[in-house]
Amino acid sequence: MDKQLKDLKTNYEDNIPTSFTDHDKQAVLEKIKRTEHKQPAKVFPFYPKMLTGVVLAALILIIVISVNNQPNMFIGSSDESAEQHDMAGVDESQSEQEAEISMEDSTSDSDMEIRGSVNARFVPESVRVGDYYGTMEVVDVNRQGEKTTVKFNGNMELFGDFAFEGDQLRFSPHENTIPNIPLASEDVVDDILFYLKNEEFIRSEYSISDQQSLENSNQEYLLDVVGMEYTYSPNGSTVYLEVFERVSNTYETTIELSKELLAVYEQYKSSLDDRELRNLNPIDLFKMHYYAQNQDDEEVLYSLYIQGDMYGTPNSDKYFNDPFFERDDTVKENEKMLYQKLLEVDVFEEVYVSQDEAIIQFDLDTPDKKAFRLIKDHKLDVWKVAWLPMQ
Amino acid sequence: MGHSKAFHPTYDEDEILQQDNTRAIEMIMDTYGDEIKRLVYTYMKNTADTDDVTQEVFVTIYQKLNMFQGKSSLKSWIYSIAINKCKDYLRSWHARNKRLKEKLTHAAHSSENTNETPEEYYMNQTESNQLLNQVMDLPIKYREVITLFYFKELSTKEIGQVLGMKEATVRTRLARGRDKLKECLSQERGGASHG
Repeated sequence: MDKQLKDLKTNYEDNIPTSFTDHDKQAVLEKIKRTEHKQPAKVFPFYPKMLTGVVLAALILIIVISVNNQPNMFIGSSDESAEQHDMAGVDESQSEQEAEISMEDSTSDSDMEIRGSVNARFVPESVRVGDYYGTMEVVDVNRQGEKTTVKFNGNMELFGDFAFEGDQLRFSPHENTIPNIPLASEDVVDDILFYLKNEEFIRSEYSISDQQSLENSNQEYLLDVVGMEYTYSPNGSTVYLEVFERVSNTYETTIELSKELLAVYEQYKSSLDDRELRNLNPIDLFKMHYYAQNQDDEEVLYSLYIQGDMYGTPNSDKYFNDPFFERDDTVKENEKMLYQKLLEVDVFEEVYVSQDEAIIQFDLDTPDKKAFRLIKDHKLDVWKVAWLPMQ
Repeated sequence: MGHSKAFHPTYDEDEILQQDNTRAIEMIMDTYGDEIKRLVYTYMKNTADTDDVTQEVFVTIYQKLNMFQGKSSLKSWIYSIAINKCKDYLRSWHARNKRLKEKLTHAAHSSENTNETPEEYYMNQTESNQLLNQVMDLPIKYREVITLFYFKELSTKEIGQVLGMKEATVRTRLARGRDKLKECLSQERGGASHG
């Protein structure tokens, strides 16, 4: 086979029915010209940012003036408001301090500083365990000389890029997600160095081996951050982000239902009671979905979907009566073809993306892995199929 | 078959990198145009998409030329851009939708006629192309390593760099790809012989 393939090179070159002609070359050069002519629009990105900055500054100014005119505006007499106040982790002096920072920001011409003012700000000298900043909760504070290390737990999504600093991977958050990050009151985002606590995981998750692999990738990276260690120092702060690590199980199985699962399926079919689905794993629901589809068990198929508008699932009246949702012959034929292909797959990976979401990954004849999405119904403690589950 | 080989001068890497970007991209197209377009075709399997994606590849190379740091060879770098562009395209909604439509159309007509495109018809003409057809029908992960190793003569190390994977993975995929080809060929010949 090795020799046969080596001999095939000439066939490959002669028989792939395509060549790069002068016409192709001209088309590329013209496209480059067109692209370059469009670029001057990017010369003035400062103006929209400045406009946003001015609007933000005006808003902050109005809030500060309102607070000054009505000092009791945000200090309610009820316990509830006191509790909320405590939750925000902002005491009165801190508010004043922040207001001062905001005022400074609003009078500054720097777009960066104005943008920074919308972040949840903590004061390193007074930050306490239990305080909340945005969606992140302070779980530990350690002060050593000028340095304060604050550990946060919670959940925030950050878009951004990676770059190598020596052998270490550094993260640069994109402008639109920067407001999600709690910042020390005197820090400016561009001066903070962001690293990764679980760098190895990120490298393998995104196939980052070296600078070259980053340059070759057009990917925008989204980090699901669950923890953060923020070391504040007047000489420059450093942040280590902890990214959620997916738990996964690999199954060497086929999509066919086992005897036991078939029994559960039949039971569920007769009752359509979701409690029958307790103790089943996402992979079982995945198999049941395709089995129902292949058997044309419409009621089971619908019932296995997670229900509710919030998940995008149509109500039963729409699903069964609206022609838009009808599985016509072409759709069914297509599904049967897919089922036949799925029968050939013998390895499935069950990935728990979060506590509420799992995906089943598998290889079909496509460049990327297929993923089937499931959602946890915590009330009933069962996994259900997401509406339009295949990704 | 509507495709003729145009003569293009070829240049070496150092010569190309000494030029300004506009001249450099012209030299790159002269040197690598044919092989990149053929490589793109092995992913797209139709000439219309191949034309579009090849164009995109060279525009991207032009835009990123200043970022080329010489850590790998220029050829590997160009290949990796081309492969990434192909995969991006195949992942796009447009391409998925198109493939689904093709599948449905193919399913509807498969019992009556073979539904071959002119390109497929050409490739099926000779028996010696049977193996090449089998390569083109392999899943992409095997097809790409076999194309790069046997037809583009890249080493497993270079393929690893281009595809962003370990050399061991490349070797495994090559072996599995060959096994799959053997399997397909023996099935096609009635399962009697083994390659």
